[in-house]
Amino acid sequence: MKLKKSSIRIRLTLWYAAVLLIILSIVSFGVYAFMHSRMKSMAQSKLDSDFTTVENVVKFSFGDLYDVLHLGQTSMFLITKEFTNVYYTEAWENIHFTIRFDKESYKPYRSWRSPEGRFFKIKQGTIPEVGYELAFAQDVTEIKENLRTLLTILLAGIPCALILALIGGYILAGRALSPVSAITQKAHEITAESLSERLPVLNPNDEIGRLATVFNETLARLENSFDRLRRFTADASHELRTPLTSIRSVGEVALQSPINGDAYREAISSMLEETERLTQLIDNLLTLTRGGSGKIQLNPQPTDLTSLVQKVMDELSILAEDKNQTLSMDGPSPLMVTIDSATVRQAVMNVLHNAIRYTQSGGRIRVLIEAASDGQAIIDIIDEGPGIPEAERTKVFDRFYRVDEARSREEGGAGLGLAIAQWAVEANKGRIEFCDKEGPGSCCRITLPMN
Amino acid sequence: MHILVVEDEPKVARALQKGLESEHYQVTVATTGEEGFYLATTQAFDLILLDLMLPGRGGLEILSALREQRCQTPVLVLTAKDTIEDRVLGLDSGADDYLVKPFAFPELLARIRALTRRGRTDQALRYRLADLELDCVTKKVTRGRQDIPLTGKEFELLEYLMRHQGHAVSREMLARDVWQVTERATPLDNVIDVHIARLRQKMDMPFKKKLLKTIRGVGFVLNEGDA
Repeated sequence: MKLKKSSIRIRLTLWYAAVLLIILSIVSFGVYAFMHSRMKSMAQSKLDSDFTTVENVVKFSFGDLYDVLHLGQTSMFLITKEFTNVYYTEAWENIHFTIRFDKESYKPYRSWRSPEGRFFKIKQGTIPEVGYELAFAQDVTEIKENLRTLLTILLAGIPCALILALIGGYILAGRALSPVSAITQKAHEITAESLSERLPVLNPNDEIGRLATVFNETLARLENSFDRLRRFTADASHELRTPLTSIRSVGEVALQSPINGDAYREAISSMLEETERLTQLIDNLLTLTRGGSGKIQLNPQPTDLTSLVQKVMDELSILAEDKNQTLSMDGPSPLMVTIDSATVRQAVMNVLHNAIRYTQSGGRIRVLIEAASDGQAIIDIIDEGPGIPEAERTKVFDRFYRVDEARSREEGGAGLGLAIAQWAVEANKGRIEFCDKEGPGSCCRITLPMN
Repeated sequence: MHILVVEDEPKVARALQKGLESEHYQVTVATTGEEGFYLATTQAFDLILLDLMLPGRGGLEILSALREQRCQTPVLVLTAKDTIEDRVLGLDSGADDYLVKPFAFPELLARIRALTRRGRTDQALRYRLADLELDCVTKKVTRGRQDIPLTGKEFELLEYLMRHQGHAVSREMLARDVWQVTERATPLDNVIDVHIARLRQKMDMPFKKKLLKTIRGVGFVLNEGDA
């Protein structure tokens, strides 16, 4: 439909005018019909009262109609008896109306147009006692003219009112919609570079104000995630630059002066090691971006969480052994949870790997698994490392965040392990956090819903 | 053995050519899709290494066209795209294997060996290198006359190295094939290093001749040589 495509302003105006047209038509018709029937009944009651007066005069004055004339109340009437005029008033002569009492077409009231073009309402009747037939006339020409004037005014007024309504409605709708235009204009100007701008809110309580407020909240969230993305890109470039710098300087130094074969081997090996670091970094980044954009397909299956953790521990236990650390686990088996085992495994592995890495030689790492009463499975990974200051407990999950920059770099971490763990746990509708712990070290708690 | 390399990046093409030639393969390089398609349909090759992002006709297009012409040469696809969908698309178009850039050269060699011997069963029951013997059935490892007791993981590791003896093996290959970890973002490198160290302690340290060598930046190799 064409109307659907036009602007809200035009549609509002048209609706407005249409409703007004309907109301005006109903009112006009009502007024005209009321006036018409009122005039008609007034004429009829006048004729009725004239008839009664004459009837009374004829009956009680025995035909002396002089009184009637002198009463001055009736002006036009005709009395006939057996087709002979008995009496008629002076005014009657102009009417040129002949009484016809044929029984079939008898109507008590009828309209009559005189040859002069005047309109009359006629009442006919009989007085059987004296054998009179009577006709009364009432001049309704003025009434008819008044009614016609009224009709003309009404018919001319409706289009005028309609035009006024269209103009007024158009202006009114325009004014009501002007904040929308302002918002549209502003929204047009907002791009990724100017996300800090906000839409104008003229009145926060009206519909458009609420719309603008909601829009602004969305913009705020967008700005926030763009900021995070920007920071992430900056951090990522920085991290990529580090191994690149190593590769470049090792290569340049090796070429600077002639060296022997072993030294070349050494240089190339060192460059390859950095390449490996770069590759891993990019793999990690890809995992995170794909995870963040929901590109990784999860396959939740009922899994024994305890045995999953046990397998991760078995895999990493050799690292703990190497540092003479004790690795212990305690938990109910089987503990069935519905999870995507690959991602949860990755999360547990990253956290446990950190625990082993940051706990000194001979230390102890404990893993406690329990089924909490609220339908949550909890994995606590408790280490004896340097611990995480309370202020940094949420920041450690940020990408590239390191508690001790120099130290972790030495260990070869890129600061993405916990970010990946967080993504993996949250993708399985769980939570990961560092909780309070007595004594040194940290306690990482992974909470997963059991069903 | 004749290999066709279809790769538009000149540095990578040259490196592949040199690397493969040093492994005694005969190599022909095509730098565009059209050239690759022309060569593949006019000459006989034992294997095609195909880059997917090529100027002109893309790798997938060439692959489908080759398969439509009933060209049965095994195709190993090299690409920087590594999502599951990309892999499926590549394999559906008729690729025999898929290797994601940047790849480790030892891994490329291993895949080429696997593809070119396809059809022959190659699962040996017993491997031997110098005086080192590994029996896949009894799970026993001996060196000279001496039994070498290994843990399960160490045995799997040695078996894998023995199967690829003389060829370098990267950590990535070990993670995927011995540890069965397919996600690339897992911290297994340290674990592999410690296992290698322990294995070396048992099967190499007590003996004069060292067989298990670390190639820095590349991985590990089991051979009789000095390097």
